[in-house]
Amino acid sequence: MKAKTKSRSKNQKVRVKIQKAKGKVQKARPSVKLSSQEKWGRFGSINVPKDREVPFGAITPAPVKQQELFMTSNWRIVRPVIDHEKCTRCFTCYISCPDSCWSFDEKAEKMEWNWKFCKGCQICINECPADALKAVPELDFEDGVVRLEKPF
Amino acid sequence: MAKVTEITVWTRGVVMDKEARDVANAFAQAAKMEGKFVQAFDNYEDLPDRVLVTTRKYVRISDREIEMKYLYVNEHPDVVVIVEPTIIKGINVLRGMPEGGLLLINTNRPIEYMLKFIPNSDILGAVATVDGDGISGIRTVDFSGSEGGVDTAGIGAGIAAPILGAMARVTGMVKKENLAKVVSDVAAMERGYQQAHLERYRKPRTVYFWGS
Repeated sequence: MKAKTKSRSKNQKVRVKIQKAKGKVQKARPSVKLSSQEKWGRFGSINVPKDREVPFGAITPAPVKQQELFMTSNWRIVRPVIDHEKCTRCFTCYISCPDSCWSFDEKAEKMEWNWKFCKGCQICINECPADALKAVPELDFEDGVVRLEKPF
Repeated sequence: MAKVTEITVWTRGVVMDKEARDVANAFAQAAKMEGKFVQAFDNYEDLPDRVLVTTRKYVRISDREIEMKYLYVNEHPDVVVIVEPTIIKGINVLRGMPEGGLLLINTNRPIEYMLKFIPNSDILGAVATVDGDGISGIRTVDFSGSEGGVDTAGIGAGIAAPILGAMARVTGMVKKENLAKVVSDVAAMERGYQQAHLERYRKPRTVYFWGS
């Protein structure tokens, strides 16, 4: 092993000599230590320069509670509407929702529905043991308009 | 190059995919019977294999041979057909439409109510609605992955038939008789032809006329 490394370094020295003779020697890089934030940007482990254009959805800012770029509320035909008097706070909707759109508002002691990411799959409506949820056509409401330029 | 009339059909993935494909294919086929040059193709861009996702189907009709072959989207649709009405809340369906285009929505709600959700509706030339769900009401829901490609109902069996009838009337690009040769549910197509509501705002563009 030692012999090998020696021969390699010898080779390198020879190469440097040749390059010096040709005037091709490059300056060594400055050994400045970058913080991980500076080195990798704010996109986790993917190194993408901030000024480069990437396709939509190729990179998203690292974990946030809600990813506003991926609003999927335009997938919805019907919307679950809750009757707070019938609701027993059993959290079945919270457990069964695939997109975590139900949460508990502790101040008001009510279940909260996230209109931005609900896809209208109606699983919560089927699972609710107290019959507190009802499917209402989305066009009955005037709120919840997203108006994306393109689907994704 | 002669003017190419572009038609975009908006629908939802998997659950109403077959209906929109029937609309695109049958309309193109009927126009072909009248000696026009047509292209009808599915969406490649919007990942249409997901349930409920908004997807598009495209038709191009022209009097002369169509030279645009490698562009898989209709960037300036003259006619936009919406098979599932909730889409107008989530997508800017009039994107790229030239002034005086036509919008056809499959709904039983009044036109004024639907236009509330379309703030850029002032570029429209006309709006039409047809109650396809009320007339036919059959949708092909198929989770096998074939997307209605192997069912025996044929082209234009469900809600596609009344929408096609309404399209024939409000665009005037194909004749009802030719459409009847393609569509399997001719009675529903006839009812859609007669029950379509149309509201005109401007003079029609030269490529088609509204109402016959």
